[in-house]
Amino acid sequence: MPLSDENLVLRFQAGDQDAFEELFLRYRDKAYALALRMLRHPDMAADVVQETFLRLCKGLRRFRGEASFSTYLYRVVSNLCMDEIRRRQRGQQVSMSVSGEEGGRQREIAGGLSDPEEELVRKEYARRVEEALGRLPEDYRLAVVLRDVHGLSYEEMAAVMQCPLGTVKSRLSRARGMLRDILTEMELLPPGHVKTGEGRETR
Amino acid sequence: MTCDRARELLSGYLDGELDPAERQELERHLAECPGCSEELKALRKTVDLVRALPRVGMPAAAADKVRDRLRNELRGRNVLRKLSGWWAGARLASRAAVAVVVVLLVAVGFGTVYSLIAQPKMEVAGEPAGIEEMRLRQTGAEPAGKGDEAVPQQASPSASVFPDARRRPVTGYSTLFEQKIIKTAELELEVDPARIDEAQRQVVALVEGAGGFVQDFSTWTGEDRKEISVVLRVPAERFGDLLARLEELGTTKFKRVSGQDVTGEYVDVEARLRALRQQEERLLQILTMVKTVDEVLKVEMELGRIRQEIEMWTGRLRMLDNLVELSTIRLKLIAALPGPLTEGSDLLRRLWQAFLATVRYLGRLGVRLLVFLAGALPVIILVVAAWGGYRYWRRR
Ligand SMILES: [Zn+2]
Repeated sequence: MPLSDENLVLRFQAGDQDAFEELFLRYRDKAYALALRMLRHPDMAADVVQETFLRLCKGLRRFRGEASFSTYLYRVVSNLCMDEIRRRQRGQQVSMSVSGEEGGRQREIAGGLSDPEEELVRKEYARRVEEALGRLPEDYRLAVVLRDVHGLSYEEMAAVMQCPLGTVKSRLSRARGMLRDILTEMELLPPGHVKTGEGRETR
Repeated sequence: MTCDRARELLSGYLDGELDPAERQELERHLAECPGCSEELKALRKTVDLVRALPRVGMPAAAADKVRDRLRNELRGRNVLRKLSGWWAGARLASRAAVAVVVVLLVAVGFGTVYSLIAQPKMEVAGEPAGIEEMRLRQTGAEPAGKGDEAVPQQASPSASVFPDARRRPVTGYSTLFEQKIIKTAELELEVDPARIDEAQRQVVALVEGAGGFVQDFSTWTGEDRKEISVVLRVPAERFGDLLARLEELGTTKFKRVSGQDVTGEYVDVEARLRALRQQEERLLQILTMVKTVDEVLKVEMELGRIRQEIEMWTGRLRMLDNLVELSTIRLKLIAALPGPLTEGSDLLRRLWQAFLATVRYLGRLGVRLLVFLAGALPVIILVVAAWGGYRYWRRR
């Protein structure tokens, strides 16, 4: 029978190192997926995963199970990501992901009329949705990713984002609204009644 | 209800997080406000797009690097703990002994009173966390009547300009309109390591028996576990049945089933394709009229962009169709490999755990008693003072 997370935490607290490795195996992908969506950079995401588990390794000894292990983990990951993003913003304002797109598009046109494989289309589609996510402010992005990718409940989100339940609700609502606008602007959603904002990107 | 208030509630409504009164009021508003129901539809599609993103995993090389780093860290910690443990342990033991004696003495005195005031409760370790994650996500069905837009279209004029046989069946989809639902499941099963290969064969047999196939297959063997990951595609009508059978092969560690209604998206994509083809045709006409090379280049560039977009959306339609007809099951079989270390030390570990559990319980009891003691301190001071006073008075 597989052990519960709480059980593994107890084992680790009792000195069982395999238990910690099991927790790592269980959660590395989730941690990585969250970090990657927040930072949009594979190496940095891997660094965050490492730092997260190093901290857990220290912090878990004092962990009393006020929250579930997964909530605790998500909280560490998102805090680390937010720190990294803030550091980045203080440094220089690089527009990620959008730069270099023109070149890519041009190249695709050249050979693009042959036969697009389904997989390619799927990837392209996912890439554009990811890009849209990337254009959300980081706290909005965190809310959407935690809810709609990782499937956290509102209560869990409140624990991860360290804010009241009402804030979770309103932030998620605003985040989804903004994402809808971006997706519409990118023509991934049909233009119902487009809000005329200051168009950030002109095509 | 005002539209502004309604829009604020839509997101919570999608998640089923409104209280019943709010929900009723919102639904009443939605019934009579087309603007807000449009908004709801757009939001739902937004959420669906995010939910449909492929699952991201950590690249194996990066994961191994982190694991090695963790092992180093843990080993270092252990040595340190052992060294400092002896000394600190000895000192702690003597202090603890004193504390225990004090606590026990107090406990004898106040224990009966304490048990009358407060009922101490033992915390029980929580249920397996896996259950939390077993969420069934079901996005609501699109309102009926959406299909009405899907009247069989006239052969679009662009067909003659762009006579590509591959495209024809795509435009034909709208004529056989029905609810389009993509069913997806993720399943992680823990299996007996001795039986993992057999389980894998059974999976293949089950899928093929149901008229499906294995789309993707990979195995991974680590030091302590073996994982077999497969992506199965099965006819939608056999989905539930097959899922149940697969679950019989092992212990379910993680399960997620989702049904995504893409009927609306279908209609939208088709409309978009029609519009794009018209644009394409217009550009072809313009191309015959422009004079300079520069203009020709510009128009061709635009044409290229539009054709690429047409390709993309055509592919999207084809993909949707494929996903609707064949459900996807992402299955992971996991077998824990018995390591040389874990087996022998299992008894020791259990003994150690039992010991620790008791120590922890005693610790909690001690804390409670100390808290009680703190509360009783004024009384004790009074008693001691009275006793001291009495002795002082007697000696005189
Ligand atoms: Zn309204």
